Amino acid sequence: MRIAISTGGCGLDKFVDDRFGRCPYFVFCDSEDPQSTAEYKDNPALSGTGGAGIAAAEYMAKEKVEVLITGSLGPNALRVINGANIPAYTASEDMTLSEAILAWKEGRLIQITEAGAAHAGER
Amino acid sequence: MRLAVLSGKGGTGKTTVAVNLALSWAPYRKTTYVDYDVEEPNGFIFLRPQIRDTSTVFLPYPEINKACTFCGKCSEACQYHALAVVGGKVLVFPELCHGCGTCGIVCPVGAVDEVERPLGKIDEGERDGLLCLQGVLKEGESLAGPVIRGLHRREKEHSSSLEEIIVADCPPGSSCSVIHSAEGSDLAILVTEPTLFGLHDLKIAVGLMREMGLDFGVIQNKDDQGTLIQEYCAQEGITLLGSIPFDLEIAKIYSRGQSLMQDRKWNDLFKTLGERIVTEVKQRKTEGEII
Repeated sequence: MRIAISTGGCGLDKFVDDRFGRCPYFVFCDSEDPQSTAEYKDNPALSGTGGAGIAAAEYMAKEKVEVLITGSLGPNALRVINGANIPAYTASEDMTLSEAILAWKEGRLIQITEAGAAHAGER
Repeated sequence: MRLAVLSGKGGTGKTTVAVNLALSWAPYRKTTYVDYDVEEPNGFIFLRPQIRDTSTVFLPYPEINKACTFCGKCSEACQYHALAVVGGKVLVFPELCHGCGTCGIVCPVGAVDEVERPLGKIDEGERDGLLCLQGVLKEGESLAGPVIRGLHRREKEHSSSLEEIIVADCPPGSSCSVIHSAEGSDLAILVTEPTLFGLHDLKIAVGLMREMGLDFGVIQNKDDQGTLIQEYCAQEGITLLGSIPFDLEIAKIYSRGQSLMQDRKWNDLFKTLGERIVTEVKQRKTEGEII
């Protein structure tokens, strides 16, 4: 499965960023072999003045992501993620990317079904 | 003549100055008061005009019709991210749309229809011969610009010869809303207060006026007899048009939502200030023509 995770750093030992639209990077990898498939890309929505969640969610669809792991999704981002039929899971910021992938594989992450606060990542 | 009342800092007394100046001119010349602080207009609290007309300000946003091929060009072109193309659908977020129409222009198959949503309203009323206009942005909306532009158009329907006065009560700050509210004025009146915050934001407002090439002067409100504002104005060669004292009585009248013109002392003060401003504008116009 192609996984995307919002992150503050580039490396599987780096931590999950709980902001979705305003995280600095996304890691994309195959859940079966994160080590050799991980690619780190700048979040293209980061610099926009508004609608970052929407732009980041649309980016997930363009990247053909099958599973998203992040902190929470605002109402607009969730609408786009749902529209793209990408299941999203919540992970906390004290998890490294490897730990988050493992937790998802073991079914320990909770699926995001309700929107978090709007503009939560603007800090 | 058009006069813009602005401040930089909020709470310095823009509305107090704008409302009372407008009331001081109204008996002698055709005067229009326009509240451009559409996010929180409060001039009507003090003016209590009889509202005779209310119109809605609409903003266009896209609706996608069946011709859509989901190519994604509209979403790519929208810098406000008001559109997302995912999973064989186009999702539209009207509250993020600025109504610029770019999506319709870039769509290769004519799949974008324009529909409208109400964004705010414009009220027109009158009190004792003073024409009063205000723009009101709907609660929860963030786009003040279209309401301000609508108000500007409405204002222009009323003539503005040099002898007639339009008082534009502008929003605080130095953002686009302030620029759109102040542009086209013959003089900007910067209302400030003798605090470090007041001075700090006054400097920003002065910078904005210079950038815009607008003539301006300063009114010091809550004058505590200190020299903070005077020294700054002297140093920068800025005209101090007048000052309003720091006075408990003014605060009491304000807190009751009344105008200061009912009181003889303040009536005289604003009349003098009003005359000074009219003279100042005419003088600058004459000087400008000579040069």
